Amino acid sequence: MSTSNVYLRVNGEGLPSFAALIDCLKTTGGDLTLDFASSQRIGADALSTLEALANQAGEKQVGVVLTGVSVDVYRVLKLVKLASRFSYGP
Amino acid sequence: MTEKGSGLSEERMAYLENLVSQARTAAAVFSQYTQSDVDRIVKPMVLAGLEQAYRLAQLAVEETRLGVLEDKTIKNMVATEFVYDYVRDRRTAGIIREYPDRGLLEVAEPIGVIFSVTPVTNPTSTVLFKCIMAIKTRNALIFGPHPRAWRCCREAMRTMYGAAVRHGAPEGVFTCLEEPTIDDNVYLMHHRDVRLIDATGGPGAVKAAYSSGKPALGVGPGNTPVYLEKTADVQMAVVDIITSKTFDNGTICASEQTVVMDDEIYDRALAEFAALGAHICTESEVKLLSQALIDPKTGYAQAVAIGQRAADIARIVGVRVKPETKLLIAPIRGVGRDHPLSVEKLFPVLAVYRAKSAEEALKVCVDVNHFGGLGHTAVVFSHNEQIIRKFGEMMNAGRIIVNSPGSIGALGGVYNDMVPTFSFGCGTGGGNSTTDNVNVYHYLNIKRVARRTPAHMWFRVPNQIYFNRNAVENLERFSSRSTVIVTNPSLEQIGHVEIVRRSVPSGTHIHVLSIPDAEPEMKVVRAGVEALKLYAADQIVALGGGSVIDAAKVIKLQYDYPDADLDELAAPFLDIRKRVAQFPGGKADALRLVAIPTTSGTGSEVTPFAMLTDKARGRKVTLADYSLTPDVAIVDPQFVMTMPKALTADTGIDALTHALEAGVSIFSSPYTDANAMQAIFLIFRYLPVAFEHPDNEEARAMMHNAACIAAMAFSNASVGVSHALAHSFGAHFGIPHGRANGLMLPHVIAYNASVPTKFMPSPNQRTYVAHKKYAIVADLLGLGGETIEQKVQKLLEAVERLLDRLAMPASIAALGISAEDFEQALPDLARNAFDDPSWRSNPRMPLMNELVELLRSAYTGRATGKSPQETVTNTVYVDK
Repeated sequence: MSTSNVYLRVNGEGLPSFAALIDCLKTTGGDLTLDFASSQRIGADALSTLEALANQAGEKQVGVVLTGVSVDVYRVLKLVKLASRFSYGP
Repeated sequence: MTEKGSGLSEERMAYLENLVSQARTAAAVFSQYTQSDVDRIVKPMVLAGLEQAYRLAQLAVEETRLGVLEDKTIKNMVATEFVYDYVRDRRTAGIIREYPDRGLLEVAEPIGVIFSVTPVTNPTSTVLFKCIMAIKTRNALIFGPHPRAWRCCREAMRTMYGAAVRHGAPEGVFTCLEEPTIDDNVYLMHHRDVRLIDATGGPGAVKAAYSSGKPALGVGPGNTPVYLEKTADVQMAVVDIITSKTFDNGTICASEQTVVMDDEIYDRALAEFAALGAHICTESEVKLLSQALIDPKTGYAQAVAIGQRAADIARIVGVRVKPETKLLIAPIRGVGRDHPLSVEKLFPVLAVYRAKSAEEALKVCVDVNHFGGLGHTAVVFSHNEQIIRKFGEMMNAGRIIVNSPGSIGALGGVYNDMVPTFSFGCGTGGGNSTTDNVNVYHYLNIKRVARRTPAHMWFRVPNQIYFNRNAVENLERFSSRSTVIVTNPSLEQIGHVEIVRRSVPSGTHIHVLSIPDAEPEMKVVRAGVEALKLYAADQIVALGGGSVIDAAKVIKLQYDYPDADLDELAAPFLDIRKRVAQFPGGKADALRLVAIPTTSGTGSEVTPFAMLTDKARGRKVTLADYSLTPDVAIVDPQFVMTMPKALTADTGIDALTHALEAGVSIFSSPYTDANAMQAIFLIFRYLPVAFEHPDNEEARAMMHNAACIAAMAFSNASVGVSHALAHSFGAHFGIPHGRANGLMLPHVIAYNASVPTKFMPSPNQRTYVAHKKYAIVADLLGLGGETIEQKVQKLLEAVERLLDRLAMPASIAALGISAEDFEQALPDLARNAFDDPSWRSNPRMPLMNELVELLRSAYTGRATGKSPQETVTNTVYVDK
């Protein structure tokens, strides 16, 4: 199984669109891994992107794994009810 | 999503959902901000609000047609500058307060999304105020403005929002309903993502907020009574009242509604009002005002008058006044529906009442307060401190303003040191959750991080203990005019009293009070007190066993403090430091109590306990307080040389139980452990010798010391379950206390060494240690064993060997108590043991069924050969 690692720039501009990547992963059967190791905070844009990603991945039955999520960021995901829509890695 | 708000269109619901979604995301993002992040945002917001104060006031007046432009400008400035002055240096994010000495931290947790209803009367100022509070506390706000004020509110919100976002606030942190409806409010009030409703407005909005089932800050209408008392500065009062009541044409709900004046100043005050531009209405004018301004159906003021000028109101009503009239003053003769103008009037019409006395004035103020003003605001003008305090007690109002204008005074920060606000909590009287001036702390969940703090401990014993043979001679050290020796007849007969008498300094008047050799009764205490009075005693020497010394303790207490209520002092308690009943103390010329024990067991000579029997009421009274501890203990073995063998065994085992129970007590400490361990060592070594060779002076002396040392341990660490069971069982079947303890002790050791069903809360101990303590005792006694379990077992066996050697009964059955009698008594025995305070320091919290099992186990027989887990239904506690 192939795995793609994508680094999400939290609060950054021009956040990537995941649609094409998810289509690809659906074909290859891989998971999408987003590494948050360098993110101590998360902004509204990133949350919006994550929500869209969760929706797309759910539709296409592609797994999304978040790694390196700090407890601060995890708590925000809980507050906006996004936490349960992802898997988590170390 | 909610089922409420079903009158809304799909589009409107989508609009509202979008507002909530934005706010929720903003609140979540905002929760990551630090205090400095927040403070960087607040200041420019405040400056923006100040800059726009006039323009926003203009918008408010234009849209609402209420109030006064200049006053609304001032309100906007107060809502920004004054509120900022209050919040500027306050911590509202992260750790907001620390109490190192109490081990406490307070941490701010934002609420999340707050739905805020704002009023038509103070629209822009309320929005400015709440925006500052929300940013300072990292919350997101959705405003639900009054339908007649939404445009100006939206503009106020935009002013603050623009400044906030420019300086880093998350987008969506403020939103404002456009063209709001009641259905919108209902929908949002019930929305699952709205965490708090902050409703400042009319009774409808407040009631809806509280009915939503959400946490709510609902602050509503008032009806402010004013007492203008005869000692007041009338000129100042009149100016203040006019200033307040005409401020923004009376739209602040804290403004004065009915002024009750003392007869002596009534005419002068009205003249002052008139001189400063008020119109004093005639009776017929009052009637016109009442009919036109108050809705006869509801009893409330007509909305058309709210926030209008006095002259305009007069014109509408048909009362002729000068155009510059500031205020219409309407004399009324009572309060209630029959006196329409006694309600809240958010316009410049002021009711006045002439009172014949302070009593009447206060009653009328109470009437006004209860006629729609509960919990809100009340005002008093007086220089009589008693009147001010009485007014404060009588008025149910969150704000009681003294010698200042009601409306501006209630806002806080201008005329007084109250917290600046635009939202007045009215307490339960007003159906609100707080009486506070609502402020930033109401927009926070405040979390307490409480560190484990060890309870204060102590080691308290008499400050003088004399021991070894002839220690009694130390009595010479204590001068006394008159000494009463409390003792037993038998001790007189065998010459012990005479030995004591010889040791008292010459010249001392000595009197002997001989009391029965039994648990002291109240009548003995009374007789003792009378004897002390008769002989004007300044010293008691208690010579005897525990009963005599206990009696002397209570006699001294009642003599020193005749008003001491023994019933109250004997009230149960869980923690001696927090007990309800407080023993008297501190008497400079208190009697000296010297205790000389003649048994080696109870240790009463050093303990703070006393037990007596109240036969008249058929009960025992247990007193416990360090003030009962004798001043001097003399542990002289010459007084125990003639103790009978059975008494030697019973009292010796009592002492051993004291030491073992103190050793594992949750109140044990290194200080008590040192005493407990030494006592155990001495008892194991010398008790068999004293029992088998009563004339062995060394054994007698060491046992006498051991009992005293054990008592020092349990005086400070208390005892445990064995004592609770022994008290209950011993009292029921008339078994000597030490023997009853001997029957229980092995079973209780096994019980305490097992894994507890319930642990006793104990801040002083880091883990369960009873089994380890027993193992330490086994090591001290050189009993062998490798593991803790083996050592506990060795200790059990050693205790049982000792009991056997002392010819103690091996079971309750061996005492001749039938199984039938025992089973019949069992429920009461367990219940009484549970009620006994002794077990409250036991390491394992006994359950009722466990007490029953322990008693049954003791009935059957010793734990010899049984492992701890077999003794009571538990597994042995095994760890390293």
